[in-house]
Amino acid sequence: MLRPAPDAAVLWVAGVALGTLLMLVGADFALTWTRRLPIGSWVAGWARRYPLFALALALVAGGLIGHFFFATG
Amino acid sequence: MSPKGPEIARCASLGFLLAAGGVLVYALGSAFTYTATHPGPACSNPPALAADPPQWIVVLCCLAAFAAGHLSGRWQQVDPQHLPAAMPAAVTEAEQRQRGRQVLVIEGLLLVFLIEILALLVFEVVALSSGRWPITLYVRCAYNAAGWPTTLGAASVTFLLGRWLWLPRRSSAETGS
Repeated sequence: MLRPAPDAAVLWVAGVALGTLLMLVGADFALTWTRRLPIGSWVAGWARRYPLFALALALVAGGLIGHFFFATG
Repeated sequence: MSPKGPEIARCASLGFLLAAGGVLVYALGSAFTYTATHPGPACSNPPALAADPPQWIVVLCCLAAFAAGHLSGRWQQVDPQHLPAAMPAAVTEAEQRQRGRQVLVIEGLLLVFLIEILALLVFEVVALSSGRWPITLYVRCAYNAAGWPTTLGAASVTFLLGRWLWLPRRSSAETGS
């Protein structure tokens, strides 16, 4: 049977992952507040410039989200 | 739409973003507080699949949040002078440097994103190879121990994904037509 990992490792992973999201939320808030191009526009511009790379990243990100969040067995 | 319409939409967009950030702070704070005050995991080993709310409600909440994220992204108002089509070719050296910095920021964020994906995969591989829980089980454990807060947290993440990754249609300002 699998055992839980040490608390410090789990908190470090959770902190880094959610902390990055929070940092991006802060950046998006500042950009929207100052009426500059928001993060979504930058992502869209980049994805249109590099569509194959964007497709590959989307597949990887989607696979990871499915792997982490979608447990059926 | 009345002149106040876009401003109200912009405020709503900011409000939704703040709410999503608040939920993430709450989720992170709860995880740290629980771990600091309790020795073991908050659920059985392995975590049960069934919890309150049922999984289909969680999935529906996440889908709704994803669509809400896309909508709130469309409500953002951009000053016309910051639109790409409105920016003339860099005139001065200072402007060129500023644009260079902006590109650097975007590429830096992309690099951080890729490094984090790599770190998550490394954690997953090391955990599984040493007989430890993979990340999936922690998500399931959180859902099992605190169903609604976990649902809110997952909805916040999907809201942000919808806001940032669901590409809007290319506007005429962007195409320059």
